[in-house]
Amino acid sequence: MEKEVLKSFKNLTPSSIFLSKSENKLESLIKIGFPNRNSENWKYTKLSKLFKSNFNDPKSPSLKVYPKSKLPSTSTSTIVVENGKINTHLTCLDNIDGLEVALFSESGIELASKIDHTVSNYEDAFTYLNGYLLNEGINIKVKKHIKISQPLHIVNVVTKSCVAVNSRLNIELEECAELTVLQSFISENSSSSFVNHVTEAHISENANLHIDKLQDYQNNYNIVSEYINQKSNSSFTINTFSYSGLLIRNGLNIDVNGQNCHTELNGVFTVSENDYIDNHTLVNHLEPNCQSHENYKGIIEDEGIGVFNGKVIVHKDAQKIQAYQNNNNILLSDYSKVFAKPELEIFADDVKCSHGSTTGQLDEEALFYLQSRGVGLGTAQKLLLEGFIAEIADKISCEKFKEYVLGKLI
Amino acid sequence: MSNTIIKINNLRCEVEGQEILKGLNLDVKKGEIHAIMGPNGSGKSTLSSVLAGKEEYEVTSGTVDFLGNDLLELSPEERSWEGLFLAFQYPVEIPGVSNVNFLRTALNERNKFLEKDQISAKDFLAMVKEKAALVGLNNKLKNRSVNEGFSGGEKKRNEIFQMAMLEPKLSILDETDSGLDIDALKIVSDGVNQLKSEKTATIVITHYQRLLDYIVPDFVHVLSDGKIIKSGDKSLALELEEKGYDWLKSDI
Ligand SMILES: Nc1ncnc2c1ncn2[C@@H]1O[C@H](COP(=O)(O)OP(=O)(O)O)[C@@H](O)[C@H]1O
Ligand SMILES: [Mg+2]
Repeated sequence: MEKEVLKSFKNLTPSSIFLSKSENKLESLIKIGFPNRNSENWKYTKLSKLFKSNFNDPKSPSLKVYPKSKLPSTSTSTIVVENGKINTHLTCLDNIDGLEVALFSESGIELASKIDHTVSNYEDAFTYLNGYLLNEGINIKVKKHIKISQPLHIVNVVTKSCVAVNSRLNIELEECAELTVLQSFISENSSSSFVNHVTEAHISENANLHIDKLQDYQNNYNIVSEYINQKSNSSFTINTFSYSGLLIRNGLNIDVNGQNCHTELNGVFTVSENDYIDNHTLVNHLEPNCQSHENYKGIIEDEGIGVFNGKVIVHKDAQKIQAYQNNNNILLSDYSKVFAKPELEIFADDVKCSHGSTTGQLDEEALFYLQSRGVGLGTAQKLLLEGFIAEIADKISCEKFKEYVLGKLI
Repeated sequence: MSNTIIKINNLRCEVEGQEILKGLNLDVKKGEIHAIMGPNGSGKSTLSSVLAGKEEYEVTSGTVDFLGNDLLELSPEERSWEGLFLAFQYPVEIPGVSNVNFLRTALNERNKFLEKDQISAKDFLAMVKEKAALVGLNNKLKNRSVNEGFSGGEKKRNEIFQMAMLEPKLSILDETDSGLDIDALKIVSDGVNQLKSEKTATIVITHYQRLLDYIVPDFVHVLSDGKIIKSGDKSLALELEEKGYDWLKSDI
């Protein structure tokens, strides 16, 4: 059984990081096994290729220069994680009052009580795998009442082919703390590698976390599992921009565990060639008087496949919830596909919820209009696609990040 | 140099297998204003779409010469770069695309085609200010998404604003007057008249004579069932106003 489950990962060394409790994770993984086509949440996800691979342990960081052309040129504190480990040469972290950054490998028991709280509400095979094989984890803590004005950029780069990288980010915001994280997942001279990442965030009362996330993993596999826990009066926003990857899957799980919370999930996925990009989101409204807003836009061309599955659960006593969900997709070729499923499960009676999804082509009338004014066809298409994602790009906190994201559209 | 801006010769076109234009002829020379009138469904918008290069209209025969170019061979953007402009009867709304930014892109793509310099941000803004004033386009509308949430009248003004920005050689105004109240009609017509020059020409499509009190045509043509069935001077428009179109139809 164990052998069968771990077939693709048999060459990999279990994590020696104390915090990741690798033995327990393996046990849990073997107990539930990996999802397959019969697992409701994974039925479109083409995992077969991933499981046919035979991954190796990642190599130590070796990049000497910052991969500028693949990243937004932010002039902000940057942590570079290369093949799962910190690249100390490229990491540049300002000393900021109230911000603490620690590595799992260098932390002891005191951090153990802070992690896995939200993760353990969910049983997820890839998250267990991540714990079993963890290369390194970063813990970021912002202390009470500290508002970090400068965004923190965390670059996760894979620079080796056919390796499996298991990385983790833990964010802890104390009361009234504020933080913006830019997260870039990219590859450099790598193909057929697998980056399996887990983010867990705990947002205390009145705290505010904003994440802008970029994924550009041409010819590689990437699964990101995110577990967010919000306390009352807190705010959480995540904007996910996914550009390429043999398989990209984002599993975003948010427990809204307090009143008067604001939760916002936005995303853009552009899928081309034979790529597959999948966004699964779950917002769990456990307490009353909260708002959540979700908006994802897909642009699919060639033989790409996009998936959007957004689920909102409003629990029994969570009255006066406002939950809005929207998904729009544009198919640019006859062979591109999208599977869209917005879902609402409401167990409270006094709520305002809406959800909707549309899939269509680029508006021919609008294209002709722009062309007739002298905008060339290619530029007109780009303008329309930019217009299509504009309301989401406008949510990006950092201007450089936004420029980069818009520049990557076709 | 020839004085002809556009010469349409025996133009026939189909949409979805149905013939709409059935052998249309029209010559427009520099400095002229032509009015095309005709009942609903006679093919006026089809003619403007075909001239602007809309794909779904299939030209089955005929030729169109535009300033020495074979117009029908050009893409819609090339037609614009050569100096053709169509003010749409129903301008589309384009969410997320800025009303002025796209114009700057358009001007720069045209300048590139004409091997001219790119327009500087400063010159562009000065031009926007001047032309917006010309058509009384509300400041707020300049920075919004193209036509999004504009009223009917605002959309028409925006068309004339864009025309002013692009400085075309031939402007085709497809029912720019419909949906305009009398004040807006005056402003739009003033704009068109101010842009008029000896080197450019205008085709005004309308089915009301009202507009022609403000934009005075040199020629009036009646389009019916895909053909021009009568041409005359501006008095023809007054006659049509009085008698309707039926007296002409019974002529043929
Ligand atoms: N895209 C189209 N598809 C099908 N029929 C069309 C289309 N465009 C125009 N037509 C038909 O062509 C005829 C002329 O229409 P149109 O050019 O809009 O007339 P006008 O502008 O003079 O009112 C009408 O019978 C109309 O139904
Ligand atoms: Mg019409």
